[in-house]
Parts: sequence; C-alpha cells; structure tokens
Amino acid sequence: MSIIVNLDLILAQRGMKSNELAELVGITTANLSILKTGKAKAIRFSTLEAICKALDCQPSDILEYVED
Amino acid sequence: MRKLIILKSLIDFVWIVTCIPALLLLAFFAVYMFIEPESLNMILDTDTSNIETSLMAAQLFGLVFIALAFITIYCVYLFRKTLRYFQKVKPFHMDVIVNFYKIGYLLTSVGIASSVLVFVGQLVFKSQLKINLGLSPYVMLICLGLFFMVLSEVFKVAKYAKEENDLTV
Repeated sequence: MSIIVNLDLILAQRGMKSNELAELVGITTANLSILKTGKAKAIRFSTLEAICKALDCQPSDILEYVED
Repeated sequence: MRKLIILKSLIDFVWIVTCIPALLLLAFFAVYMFIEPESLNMILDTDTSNIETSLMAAQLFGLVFIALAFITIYCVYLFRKTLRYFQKVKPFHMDVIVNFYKIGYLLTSVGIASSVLVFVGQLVFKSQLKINLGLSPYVMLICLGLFFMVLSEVFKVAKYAKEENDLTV
C-alpha cells in the first residue's frame, strides 16, 4: 500500500506505549495494531484527530505517501 | 431469529420426511424402470403403447428426470447447510456466498432442463407440440434460481463492505 503509517516511530519519539495511546484515543489495542501494521483500509477523522491530540503532532507526521 | 428457527425446522422436516426417502425411492426407481418399463408411466404420464415403441427414449427420459430430482434434493441440502451458518451468526462467510451461487446455478439449470424435458416428452410420447406460456413451476424454478444468484452477488458486496468496515479504525 502506498500510504505508510508511521505511528510506531512517533510513539517511540514520544516514549509512549501502544496500550496507553489506545486508552487515550478510545480505541481497542487490536484496532491500533491494525492501524500500525498497515492493514487498515480507512481511518476516521475523529480517530486521526484524537491520535494527533494525544501525540501532539500533525496528520502528516503519522501518514506518509510513498510511490509504489 | 425466531423466523430463522422456524425456517430451519421446516427445511429439516422436509429433508428428513421428503428428501431422504425420495433419495432411496429414486435410487430404487432408477433400477426398477429397466426391469419394469411400465413403471415409466408415472413420470411420462402416457399410455403403455407409446412407451413400448420408444423404450430406450423413455428410459433415457426417466434417467434425466431422476438426475434432475437428485440435483433438486442437493439444492435443499446446500440450503440447509447455509442456514447453519446463519444460526452461527456468520451470514457473510464465503461458504454462504458460494452455496447461494451453487443453489442458484443448479435451480436455474434444473428449471431450464425440466422445461425442455417436458416439451420434448410431450412431442415424443404424446405427439403434441405444446408450449406453456403461463406461470409454470419451471419458470418459477428458473426465477428462484436467478434470485439465489442475485442474492449471492448481494452477499458478496455486503461481505466486502463488512470487511472494509471492520478494517476502518
């Protein structure tokens, strides 16, 4: 897939664990794992907003477009 | 869910009371019609003299009729199997889609084959050129088969939508 999710990188930079983020955002760890592994087909604006708020970052920090 | 339980019970009842004995009777008849050709009167609805003149054709018709009956019973079996997935709350399982398509394809084929069989049967054994343009059970069978095929397509779309929904975070 040409959209890369850099959530692992941002989490490492912030020193935050996945379950902590899942709790802050209000999604399950299973869903967060789907997002991190790039299996997700779509992301809701509300989820993206909550992740950006929790990690104090921009959507572009999390999502990146790479040509196939 | 109560409707599903009623439907499953009805199909189970039909399966046990009608389909299983029918399987045995059809298997018996497949052999018996070669021993006693007069028994073909039951299927062909004609007098003995017509059967005697073209015995081979009559027996061939009997065999095709039995094959179509077996296929119809197989459709009931597949439908029964599919209902089990509904009971397990797995309506979008791949087997459901495949079974619906298979049932539709088989019922449509049985409907078309039966229409042709009846038409040719009347031509050969009764010397009648008869085309039934009204609402016949064969047309209904073709419609039912096509409906199952459409249902299979709808379930395929629904499965894709469900997968996409499940993978939306």
